[in-house]
Amino acid sequence: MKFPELVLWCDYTLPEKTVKKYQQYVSIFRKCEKLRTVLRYNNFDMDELALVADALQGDVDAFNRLVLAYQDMAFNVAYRMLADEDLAADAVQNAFLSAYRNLRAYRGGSFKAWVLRMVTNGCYDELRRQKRRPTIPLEPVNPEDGEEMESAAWLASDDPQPEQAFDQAELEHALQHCLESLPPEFRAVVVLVDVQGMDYDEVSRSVRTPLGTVKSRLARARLKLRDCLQQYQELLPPQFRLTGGAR
Amino acid sequence: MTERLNDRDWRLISAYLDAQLSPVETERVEKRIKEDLLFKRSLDEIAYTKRLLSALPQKRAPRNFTLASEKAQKPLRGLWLQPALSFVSIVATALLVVVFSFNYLGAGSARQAAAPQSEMLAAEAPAAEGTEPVIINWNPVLGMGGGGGAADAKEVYTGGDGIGGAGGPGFPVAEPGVGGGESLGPLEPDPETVAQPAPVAREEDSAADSDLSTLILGLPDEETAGTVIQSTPLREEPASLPRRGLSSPILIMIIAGATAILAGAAALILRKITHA
Repeated sequence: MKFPELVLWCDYTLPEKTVKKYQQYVSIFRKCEKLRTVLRYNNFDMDELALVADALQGDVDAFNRLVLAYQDMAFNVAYRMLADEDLAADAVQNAFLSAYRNLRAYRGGSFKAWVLRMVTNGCYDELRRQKRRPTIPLEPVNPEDGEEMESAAWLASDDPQPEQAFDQAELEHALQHCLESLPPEFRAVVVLVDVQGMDYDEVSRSVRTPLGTVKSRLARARLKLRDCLQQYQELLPPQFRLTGGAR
Repeated sequence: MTERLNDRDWRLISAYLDAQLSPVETERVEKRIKEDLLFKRSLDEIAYTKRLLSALPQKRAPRNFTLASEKAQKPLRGLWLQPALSFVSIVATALLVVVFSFNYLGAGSARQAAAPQSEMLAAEAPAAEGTEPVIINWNPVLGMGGGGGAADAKEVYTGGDGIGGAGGPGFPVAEPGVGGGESLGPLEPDPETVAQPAPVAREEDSAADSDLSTLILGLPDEETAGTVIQSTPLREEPASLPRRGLSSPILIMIIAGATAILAGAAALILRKITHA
């Protein structure tokens, strides 16, 4: 019996047909007790599991409540991975659609990590596609020096202080540029841990990589980012300017 | 103070910042921070990089990604059909390549070289077995000789000098015909054949002299010179005879090619529909 079905069995009324199907499990009630213990021990969100169970029964609205809970995080991960809002939105939409259609493959654990795995996989696919068919950005080019001109969106910000907003946007641009210079596997780990604040276990499940590899990739990614940020010393506050001497 | 940090040091720093070290390791790292200036400075830089990343603004999703009921349903069509069609297309293409290379690049080339001869023989076979060809004899008296009369060879042998290649009808004296078959040696005369008078055929031949449709091409006599003789085939080829248009490898190649194209196109269309 799969995990979501066990949740359904233990906490919800199942259709008679499904009950007959699982009558072979003699120790089903023992399983329920064990499940509840595991859930309590791991601080699982029972509301989330209930929504998953309802979604398994074909309740799209229940699944949509999960979508609303995680869509911002999913979009941010995809945006930091792909550096393009439209591509990120497409990747997230496909990830949620895929998650709903493959909900039976969900084996419990963190639903957030499970969904983010689909998002990161979608981003990897998109990055591979971009590598196969590289595109030229449509940023305007300065005819004098051939450099790309900054678009208006680059300068846009909600911050009321224009100078501060400009600095912040410049810094964000620098960080995004450095993130893009990382290999996709390193980028995913550093985005999930440092940008989204996820713990190592969740990241390990999200990227389907052993914990030790996650730690190693994170350390190397941070080091590469530190090196990259040295190009943007003038954007950093004086007390945080990097020396970059130690390797 | 160390001069250079190795990979293990960087992993220690990273894990220390995320509080992922054991108490013993944490104590060891903290001791080193106090003693090793380079280690401390590297730790500060990585810590700042980490803080910068965590300070990146969180963007709001540009729209809701909730699913509509009809879109959320799994597409049932094309789940198995598309790969099946692709497989059929690949198999048909492989078959096409194998048959083509066997027939035109490999052993088939030798057979192709022999094919014209066999076709010629096949073309002659109905004529020999069926009706007599339309023969126009322009000069019944002075036969031009030649022509391999295989059926008449024995007859000629009996009446002549054993050199095959009868001149055809109207040859009282058998002279070596041009291109006639040559017997390899004296043959034992067949008593039945010897007993049979040959003139039966010759009578027919002499009777056919007046029929222009049975003449062999040659020099026209004075009466018939310049006239146009119209003749029609005595019997049309029956419809039941097998047609010699397509050999089986070509037929296989045509079928395989058509299957490959159709199945491939269908798989492509199905893929576009299901992925839309």
